[in-house]
Amino acid sequence: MSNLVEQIREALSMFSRIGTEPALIGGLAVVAHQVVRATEGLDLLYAHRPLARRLLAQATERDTPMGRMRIINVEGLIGFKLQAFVNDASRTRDLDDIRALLKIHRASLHMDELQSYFALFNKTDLLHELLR
Amino acid sequence: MNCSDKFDTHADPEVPPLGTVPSAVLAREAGIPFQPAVRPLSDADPFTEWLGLMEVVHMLCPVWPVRDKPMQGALWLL
Repeated sequence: MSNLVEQIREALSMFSRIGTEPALIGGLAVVAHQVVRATEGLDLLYAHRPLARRLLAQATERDTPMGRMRIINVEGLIGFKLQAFVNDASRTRDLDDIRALLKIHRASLHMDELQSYFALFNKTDLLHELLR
Repeated sequence: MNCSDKFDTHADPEVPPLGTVPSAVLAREAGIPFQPAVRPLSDADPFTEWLGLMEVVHMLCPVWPVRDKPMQGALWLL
């Protein structure tokens, strides 16, 4: 497993060298938010649009076995998972992740922010279904 | 061994995806109804637990499928 750790450390180190601090999104961010599942992908947010720039600015730093990483908040992570699912409905893993994140973090979620992401993709009904 | 979690790469857009049905049983979940992962009882760091999990996963599945195409779709709002 040291290869995986080393590869992630190397990737983070390269971003650090060029003065960029991306935030973790994707499967590994799901792990960071307490849903421990198998994933090998390292998905990093390098923001372009205003919403993503805000989420990047709000990302929190955490010490991990792979080094210090910035991690997107759980509401934003759900937003990105929803975006991926809306664009490719065969990616049911994203919907599973959303369901698990909602279950674990429901009591502490900022519902207004969450609802804004579902409204953005015209999926308000889906949020209601997931929260039932 | 096929380690992909994509069980249907030709989803019919007219058919609601299985994942939207809470009671759906997915093949990749070995016939077990979906159960979100719960926080382990231990206070261990989730990354440490993930690394332990990946040790086992790599033993069972040494080669993971390569992402053969970029993300699909055209609705990128975030």
